[in-house]
Amino acid sequence: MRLRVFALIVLIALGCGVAAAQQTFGDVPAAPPIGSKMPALKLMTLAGQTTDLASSASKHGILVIFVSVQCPVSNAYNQRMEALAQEWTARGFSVVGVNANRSEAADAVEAHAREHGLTFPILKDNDNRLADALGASFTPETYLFDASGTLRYHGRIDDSKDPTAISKRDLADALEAVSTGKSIAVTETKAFGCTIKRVPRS
Amino acid sequence: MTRTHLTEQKSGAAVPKPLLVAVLVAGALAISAIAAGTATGQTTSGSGSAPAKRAAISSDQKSFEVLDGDAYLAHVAERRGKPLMVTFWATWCEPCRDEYPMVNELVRQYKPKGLAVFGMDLDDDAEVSLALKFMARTHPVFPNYRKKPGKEEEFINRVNPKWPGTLPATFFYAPDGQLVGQIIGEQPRQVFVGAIEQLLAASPQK
Repeated sequence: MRLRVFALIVLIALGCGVAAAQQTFGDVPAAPPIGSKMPALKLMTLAGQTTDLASSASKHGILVIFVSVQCPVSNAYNQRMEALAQEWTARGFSVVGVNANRSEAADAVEAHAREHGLTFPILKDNDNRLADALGASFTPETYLFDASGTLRYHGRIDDSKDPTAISKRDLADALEAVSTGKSIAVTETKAFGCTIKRVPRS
Repeated sequence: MTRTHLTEQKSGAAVPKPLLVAVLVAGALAISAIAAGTATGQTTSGSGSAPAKRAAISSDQKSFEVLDGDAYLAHVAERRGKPLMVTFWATWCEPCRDEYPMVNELVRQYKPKGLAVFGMDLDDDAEVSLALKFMARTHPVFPNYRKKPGKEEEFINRVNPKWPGTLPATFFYAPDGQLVGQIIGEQPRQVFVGAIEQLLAASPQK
């Protein structure tokens, strides 16, 4: 109810007729293709300092995970995200959580991280510019950039919200490939997740 | 397909949502626990009462059929000849829960104008009872099915290769069965109205 009050100002492309192409109503930017460069956009630390992804990058690159305080899917992955962060930070990557939900303020993000034992840094994408640039639309959605800042993998962490039913660990496979200089077998994957709550654009 | 007879029962409810949720969830709990238990073979705790309600809820449950990607596309094909809207939701998706009553109201409004509609629930087996409670509370005037658990990516791509899997999501099909539009993520009512109006305008009545 309260969410509806923030009625987005959306230009509906009426008059496009019934062209064969599928039309998207509302504003959801498309994701850049694999091989695209990491966006240089301003983010905020939870302490309120300005930063960006490049200043966090490590030897092998940077893993960006869009996270949420409230999303049950993102929360189902808390332990798995923390385990990935511990393992891959030790193996030369940076792991950064990004919270782009307008409904989740920095203090709530910090409290949530503390409560759930998330030790990797989480940055606020306050006006979801990064989410827009990356076409991120759900949590937990991940983007892996290599040492040159090139997008190598985009998609899910693994193929099951239920940790007992995982059969494919696509993100870990991608990290493994990048860390050993191999090509990634599957570079784009999908999963069900909670929509990122964007700020209205005028 | 002529599922609910509950169409007009709850239409004017202007009760604040959180209150409504609390009251109705409590009320629906016993009923839907039974429905979930009988119809899905799930084990639910504390389901030992209200046998009189069983028949009504069971008939609801029948249309809560489980669909894989092929069955989903068969349901879309079955509705050829009419403009079709399919809305995807899950109980774990807060904006889905928020928009569902609004979508239901729009369906009431546009069904007489020729719009066909069904809902797809993406809850897992463990969440079936929650999904049934949710429907018992919101009284959808359109049939709802549930995605067969597992094979998420395959299902997403069968439905719509342009869909990242974000919820909520609503898809629009022309009377010839072509997927012509999508609403991804949380969007306001006027976006739905615009999409439905455009679909209907492009779908000559037979």
